[in-house]
Amino acid sequence: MAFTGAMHAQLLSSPGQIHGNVGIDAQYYTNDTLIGAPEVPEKFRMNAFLNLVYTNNNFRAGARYEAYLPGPLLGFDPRFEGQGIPFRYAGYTLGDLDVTAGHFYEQFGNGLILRAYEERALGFDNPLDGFRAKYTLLGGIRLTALVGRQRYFWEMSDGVVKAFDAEASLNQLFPKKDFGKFRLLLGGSFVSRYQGDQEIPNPDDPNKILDIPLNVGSFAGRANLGYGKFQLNGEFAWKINDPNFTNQFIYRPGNATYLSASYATKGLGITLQAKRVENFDYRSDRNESGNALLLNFIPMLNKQHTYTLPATIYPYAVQANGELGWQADVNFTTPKWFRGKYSTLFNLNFSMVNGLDTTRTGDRQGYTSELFTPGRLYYLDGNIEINQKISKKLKLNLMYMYLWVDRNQTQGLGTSPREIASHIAVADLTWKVAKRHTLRMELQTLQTAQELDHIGDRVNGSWLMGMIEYSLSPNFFVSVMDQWAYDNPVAYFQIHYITTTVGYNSGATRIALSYGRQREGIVCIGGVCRQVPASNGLTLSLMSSF
Amino acid sequence: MGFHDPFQLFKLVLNKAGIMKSLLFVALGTLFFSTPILAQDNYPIPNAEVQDLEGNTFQTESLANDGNPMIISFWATWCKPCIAELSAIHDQYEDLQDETGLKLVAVSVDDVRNVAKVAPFVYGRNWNYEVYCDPNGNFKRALSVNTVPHTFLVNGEGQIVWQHNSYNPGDEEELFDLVRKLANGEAIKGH
Repeated sequence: MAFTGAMHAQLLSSPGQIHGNVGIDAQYYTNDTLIGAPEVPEKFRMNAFLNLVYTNNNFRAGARYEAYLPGPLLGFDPRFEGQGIPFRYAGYTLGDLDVTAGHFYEQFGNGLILRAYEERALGFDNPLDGFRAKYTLLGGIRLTALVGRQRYFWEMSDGVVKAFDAEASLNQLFPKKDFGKFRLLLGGSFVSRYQGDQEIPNPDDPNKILDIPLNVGSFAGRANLGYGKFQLNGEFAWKINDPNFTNQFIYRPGNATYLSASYATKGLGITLQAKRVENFDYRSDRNESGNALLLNFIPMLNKQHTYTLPATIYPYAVQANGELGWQADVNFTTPKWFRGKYSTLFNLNFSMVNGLDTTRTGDRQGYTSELFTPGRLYYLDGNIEINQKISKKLKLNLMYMYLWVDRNQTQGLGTSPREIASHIAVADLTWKVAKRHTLRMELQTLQTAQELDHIGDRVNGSWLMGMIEYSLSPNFFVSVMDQWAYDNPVAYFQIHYITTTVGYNSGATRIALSYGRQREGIVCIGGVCRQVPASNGLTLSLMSSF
Repeated sequence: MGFHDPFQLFKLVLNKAGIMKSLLFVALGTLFFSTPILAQDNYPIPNAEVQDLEGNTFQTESLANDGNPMIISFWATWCKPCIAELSAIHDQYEDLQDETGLKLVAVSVDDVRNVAKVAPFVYGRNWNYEVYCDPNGNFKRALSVNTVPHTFLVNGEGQIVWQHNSYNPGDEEELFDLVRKLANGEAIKGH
């Protein structure tokens, strides 16, 4: 066999390289009914993985061992429980050809019809297991074809995915031709899911069975146009009728549109984005919901907040089956002649998401929709952030944000509107006490009216948050954080969520130990951000790359 | 090498367990039985497909800096410590460039949600780094990066000699010291 022969030669020609990384997150849980932490009978849980990547010239192979023992940490899907090797692959590159067998991640264009990816901190991992070939034609046309099944915790999806993508870059195709400031990229893709037939009762007539398409195809076309400092990017995707659990088995086809325009020059950057999605939940299994077996990716078009209160009190989740959203984002640095020694950096951001304006048809088509008329408001966020270096030793970040959410809609709590308006302010001060000694302080507040008709809710009313972090570069840091629900209408829910963390960094290894109460959400301490579930206890986190 | 005949073993396993398991077996077996291939202090930049700010595909094996030191920094527009690190380096970047010939390559791991914002973000901050986007995580995985920020130091021969995960204010001082050492031709003990 030519392939084994080639491999034999490579293994002997040079020893190759082995690299990888390790991540361990373990928690010892203590009971805390006050914050609503679920009881953990086994007291201790751990998420751990080891990645190995072997490369030798054009050959590569890798595997990942994962263990969730005795079960995954709170907040991760319990179906992860167990241990094994859910990810392994081998592949090689030969000139313009690249082949992968086994597991791989992939994204076509903006991911509207295909995105297999991992988001470890969220417990999200949906690679495809199969074959993928990529070929570059004439230096500027990229072809990708793949067939595979998606990872489903410790199993594989019932559905089989076939996909093809072609992308052409005008400027790479004709490198000698002078296009001036003009740049153009065109792409098109096709994805199909095959899943065997099943008997699904017709909700309109339980005596009948739905006629389900076994192959669900989707198409997308995209263009990326550039002229000097301007960049325009658009993609349109369409999916044939795909009756599935998330759309309540209706026959209406789906579509998604994504548009982005940007301008970037020295000291100024502007981005405008818009999208419209309709009935576009696409999975490798028609019966799945939640985060399992998602085949595509619908981006959220709002600022990805990282300060604790704006990021975690009223978070927003994409509504893949119907949403109309847009965003404007401006970054601006004051020129030196204006401010003198230290310039000021401004970030202005505005985003808004509405539902679609739909009319129910009363049959299996589901509904009809207006193309541009927005439906109910789901989310509105206007914020300004200012970064200012004050002196050699002091840096100050300030943020103000107005946030309006329909809490039921954005967090999947219900269908009736539950409107909340809030004002959020953040001050973040970094003080370089001495060389390698730094103190960082954060003060945050979220001001909102109490929801008196949701009296038992722990997230209710205004919040205060304070954080102080001391770091001794390059190895040590310690931090204490308190989030205080001081305004909760129920007195005993006026809880202090206090967490203390100590950490040690050395090279590509980081060990952190924290103790205390954690609310669910993104937490950034000691230089790293990750999603943390609601709990109380002692957490050990170790990360290392080699 | 303790692992004498990978070819024979490969064929044996191929017949029994299929091509995937065998390939994996060879890779893992090689790890356990032969010491020379274990992770080395200095190693070349692996190849992966990323995109430049105009959306064109770029192969990371072409990253180079004419025999001068290079920093590869993984970051994201939503990552505060990453922005703090790149801003701290930016404050002294021009001086360091003059002094050591340094080049910083900033690799954004932002996904579709934010990837369109990367160029306006970088320009809006006046960062004069060489910037690439890795929305599919190809380069990130090839370098075994867990979380951002993660910083690599590359010597004049294009070999990765040092890496660091996370950022605390002041960490850039250590990085600058190492860049100066590299520029002076001194060896760095890798991690």
